Formats: sequence, structure tokens, C-alpha cells
Amino acid sequence: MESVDADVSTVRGVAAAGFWDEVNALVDRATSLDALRAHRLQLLAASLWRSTGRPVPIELRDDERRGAMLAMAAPGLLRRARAACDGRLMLMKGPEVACRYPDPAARYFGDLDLLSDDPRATQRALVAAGFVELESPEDWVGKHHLPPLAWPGIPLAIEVHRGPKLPGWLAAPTTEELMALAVPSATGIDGLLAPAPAAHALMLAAHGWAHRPLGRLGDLIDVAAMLTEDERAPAAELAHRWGWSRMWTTTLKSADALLRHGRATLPLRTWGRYLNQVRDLSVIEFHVIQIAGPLFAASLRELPGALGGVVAQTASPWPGETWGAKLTRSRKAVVHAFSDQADHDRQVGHNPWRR
Amino acid sequence: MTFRLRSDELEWKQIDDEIVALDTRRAEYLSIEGSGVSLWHALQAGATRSELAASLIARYGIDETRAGADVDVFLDDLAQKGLLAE
Repeated sequence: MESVDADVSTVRGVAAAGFWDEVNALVDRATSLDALRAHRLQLLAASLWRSTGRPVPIELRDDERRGAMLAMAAPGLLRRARAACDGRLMLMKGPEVACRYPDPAARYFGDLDLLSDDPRATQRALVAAGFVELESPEDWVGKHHLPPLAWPGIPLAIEVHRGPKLPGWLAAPTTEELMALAVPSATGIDGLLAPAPAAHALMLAAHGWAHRPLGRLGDLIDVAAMLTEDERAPAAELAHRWGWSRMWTTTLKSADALLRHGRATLPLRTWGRYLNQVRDLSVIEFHVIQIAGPLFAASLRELPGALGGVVAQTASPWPGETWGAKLTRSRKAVVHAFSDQADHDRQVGHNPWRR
Repeated sequence: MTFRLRSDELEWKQIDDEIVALDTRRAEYLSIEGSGVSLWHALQAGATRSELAASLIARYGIDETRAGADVDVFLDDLAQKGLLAE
């Protein structure tokens, strides 16, 4: 038996000295619990406050309990998954990134993202081993991963990916290329791979832009935590090779401005002020970043398609939503334009496009 | 007789005064609070019934009869859940 903290390797603390002090300073600036959650900083806050003898609010303790339950489940599920299938298996995000945190339990994750050379064969092998598909495969045709899988009794899903989650305007590297850059997983699970740190930092950055362009401090912290000084040059080179240079430069400059006393970037001084202020986005800011994001991260060639995609997504109902419900929701968004996004979400429900 | 927590497929973390544990063999979560937390820690290293009872007496100032009864209930519960080493 072992406590969860003992189940990580020795890669913690690779970020530059003082980096986590800057993270803690940002956490302390958060304007509310909603803001901490919006930026995925709530577990860092609980860890920081407990270590400094400050009271941890009951709501954060609930978040900690849930985070701990999921973190405890991860190693066992990953071992089961590794044992159940042949071929290369790569862990992305989640517990792999958590290993870079001083306290891995302070990095929340809600699922386990795996990449394999043959996703369908991997999915079949996991189902044969006892994992259960949570949704119908028909609902996941053309998506970046197959239907989520669960082990009965464990509330942590595994997602077998066809590729990394990216904004539609970025070209995806092939699985073969990602696998060629793989290293042993920092979780220490035998036979499990992870992207090389530079590649992982790029993938984390792109994932952030796909969900909430430059919208969460937690995404930027993940990116920066993955990079040592030595990994910056390989990351830039890889970004160039993949055609991701603009997205990468915007991400890294923003992370440096917030976490390494770098010069404030134009996004941080204009549409991204919520980052430095560590507050939740307002409804209108959420819509602004969807448009401003591609303007600052897509190449000129990608931009028309990127903006077209944003308009189409904003103007369309959510999956399964009627047009009437969509119009009602749009009216509420106008009424709530300057309200916090979390308050708006509580009233209209969760946007399945925005995790 | 020394009682000890099972050494495999059991993970746990302490959050303030609560232990959250996962028995990955049965896919079952447990939450342990109060005097169970100190008993849990003692059982990690291994302890006899009388040592466990003595720890409760020292920590909570309760009498020997009540401490013994509390230990018995806790050990029975762990045994039923299959969490004690064979």
C-alpha cells in the first residue's frame, strides 16, 4: 500500500527556480472561488493555503477530496489499460503533467487521455478486459477520441484518442511522429509512454487554445511546468516544424509575462486582462476570446478558416439542443453579458464545447 | 496478534482530518474520520489490539473498555472490507 504522493517519479520541480512562487502569488490574487475554478487553480490554492496554515474553505476541501479520489484511481487504471493491450500507449496531460507539480495532487484531472497507434484495436482490447463504453460509438464518429471508457465503480474515464485535441485551424502531427518523440511516462508505469516534454508543452498549449483560447491560467501553468530552459529551443523548433509557431509564441510569451516577469503581451493588456487579474471571464469576454484567439495565434493562411469556425460554432445550437433553446440561451447571454461566466453557466447549463 | 493494513491495491491520502482511500481490488472508496485516522496510521505499520486501544486512550482520554470496543468495531469493519493483511 502506498499513499498517492509516493506514486510519482522524480521529475517534480523541473521548472525554473521561483516559478512556483509566482504561481502561488497568482493563486493568492484570485478574486473568488469561482475564479480559482475557472482557471483550474482550486487545488493549488488548497495546497498552498494548507501549507501556510491558512484555513481551507469547505468547498475547496470537497474539490480536494474529489481530486484525490481521481488521482488515486489513475495508476491502477493505467496499469490495467497497459496490461490489456499490445502496442505503444501514450499518456497525455492529466497525471503526466501532475508529475511536474510540486504536489501532484494539486493538479486536477477529470479523465485519462491515451494515444495509441491503433485506437480502435486499443478500445476493443480495453472493452475485452472489462472496461465499459460510457456512450454509444455512433456519438463519437469523427471526434478526436473514441467513446469514454470506465472501469465499473471507478469515476475516472479513459479516453482513447485518434489524435491530440487541437483547434480546428492547427494541422495535427501524425501519431507516428508523436510516438517517435515519446519518452517513458513520468508516472513510472511500466511500458507506458508520454510525449517528450517539448512536444507535450506544445500539445498542452494547443489543447488550451482548442477549449478556451488563452482563457485559463491553469493551461499556461501546465505549459510552463513542462518546460525547462533546455526544452525551450526544441519546443520552438518543433512548433516551427508543425506550423504552430504563432500559437506557440503567443502562448509562451503570455506564460512568461505572468510567471517569469516577462513583458506584458498585447493580449494580456487588452482582451486577456482576466489572466493577470485572476478573475473569471465575463460572458462577453468569453465570446471575445473565441474571435481574438485565432487573430493572435493562427497564421494568416489559417485565419479565415479559424474565424469561420468560430462564427459557425457560436451561431449553432449545442449538440442535441433545439434552435428555440439556442435562441433563448443567446438572449440570456446578451442579458448576462457582463456577468461572470460561471454565474451564466449556472443559469443556462454547461456548454459541451467548453470543458 | 498484529493487525496490518493490506499492502497491495490500496491507495490513500489524508486531507486534513480525513483519510480518503481507494481499494482498487474492489473498486471501492472509503472515507475515514475521527479516531479511525490514528488507527489507520497505526495499522499501516502494524499494531496489536491492545496497542491500538492504548493509542486511543492516550489520544482521547477514554477508558479502556470503550477504547477496546472502538478498536474492535474498526477492525471488524476493515476485515469485512478485506483491507487487513491475511
